[in-house]
Amino acid sequence: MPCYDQSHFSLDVTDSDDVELIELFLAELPNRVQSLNQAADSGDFAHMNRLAHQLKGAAPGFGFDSIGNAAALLEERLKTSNLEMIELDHIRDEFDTLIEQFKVYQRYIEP
Amino acid sequence: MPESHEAHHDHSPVVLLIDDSEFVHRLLKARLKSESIHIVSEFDGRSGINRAVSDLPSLILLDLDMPGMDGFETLRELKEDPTTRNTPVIILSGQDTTQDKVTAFDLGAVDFVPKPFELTELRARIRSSLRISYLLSMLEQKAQIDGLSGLYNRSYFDNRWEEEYERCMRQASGLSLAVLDIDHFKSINDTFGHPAGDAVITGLSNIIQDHVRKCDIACRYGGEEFALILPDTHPSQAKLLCERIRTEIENTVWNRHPDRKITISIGIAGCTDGPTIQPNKWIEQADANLYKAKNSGRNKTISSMTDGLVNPLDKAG
Repeated sequence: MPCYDQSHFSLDVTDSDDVELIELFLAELPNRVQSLNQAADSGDFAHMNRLAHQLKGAAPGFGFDSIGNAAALLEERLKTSNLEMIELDHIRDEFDTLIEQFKVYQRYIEP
Repeated sequence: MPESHEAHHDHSPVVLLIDDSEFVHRLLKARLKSESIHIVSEFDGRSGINRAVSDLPSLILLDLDMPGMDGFETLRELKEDPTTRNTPVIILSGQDTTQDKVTAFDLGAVDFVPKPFELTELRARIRSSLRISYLLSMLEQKAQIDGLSGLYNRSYFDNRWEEEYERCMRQASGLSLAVLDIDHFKSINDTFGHPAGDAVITGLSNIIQDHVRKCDIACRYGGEEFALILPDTHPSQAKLLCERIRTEIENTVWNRHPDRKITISIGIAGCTDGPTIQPNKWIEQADANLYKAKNSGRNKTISSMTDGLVNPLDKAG
């Protein structure tokens, strides 16, 4: 079992039930990043909005508060924009912040 | 007892989770492991409604923001269907504006929990909703059950008879109605007192319960009169069943009056492939057979086909 740095998680990394949840989320994490990047590349902001919405709701439950917060900011930004007219540059800051939050956890993912 | 209530007696209550996010399912299943509930999963509104109708969960947890049919639409349909109307629904949602909450409650939700969940709070809310749903189902059941006999009451019989009549017509199936009456019941009350009469009602009810199948509907029709709705049953089969009940009653020794036997008379009217008379005429015919049994010495069963043909077993007996 990798050694989890408690400061990265809002769940208890010494509790086996909590670690189980953390690992569930970590296992899906590369797919999430890929989906987000694909949505960004293809300009599918409606899909990005859904992904952000789901992350906002789910991530904190698995101990990933910082991802949840970043996703909430991205969703907020998308929500106040016209999804038909928007460009990636308009949400660049929020998008990058979310991707960076993911990177924090990449060290825990076994290659 | 209605099957849906009975099914939950020895199992954990079923909680249906409708949410398009796989994560939420995993999270809740892991987090609610310690609760004595059984979680079933659906990932969109339509499948959720179908599952609610087939599994009759005690509680539904419903996401608002789903692609296709959203949570509000799903909730509206759940509340329109008589099968699911009374199932409590807790909304789980990342949208938590006042308007969302008001809409959810107006549509019939019992509670609203914003995402991300505060898990301790969600557990408490689930428990509270399950408690209310259990009490409501008990209340509903109570309203259908006769207090003394534990059998279904008259008003339940009236509704159920209509339903079974319709089903018999749709499926052109067999259906029998038996009416049972305790012989000389008034004299038992007069001679041994009302508690003795009550004991006879209870004793007969228990014997009836022991003999009927799960799909049969046993009701206390009036004071000392009982009715059995026997689906998919020909009058000849109904007669065999009633004869077993009649014989067992006749051979029962009663604590309060060991020397005084109790007997019953029974009238049956039934069909083999779909009704041939109106539901109220059907009841009258069963009653007429009961009357014949009473007038020809009591302690016997008389049955007939609703189409007026003589039941072959009656000829022989």
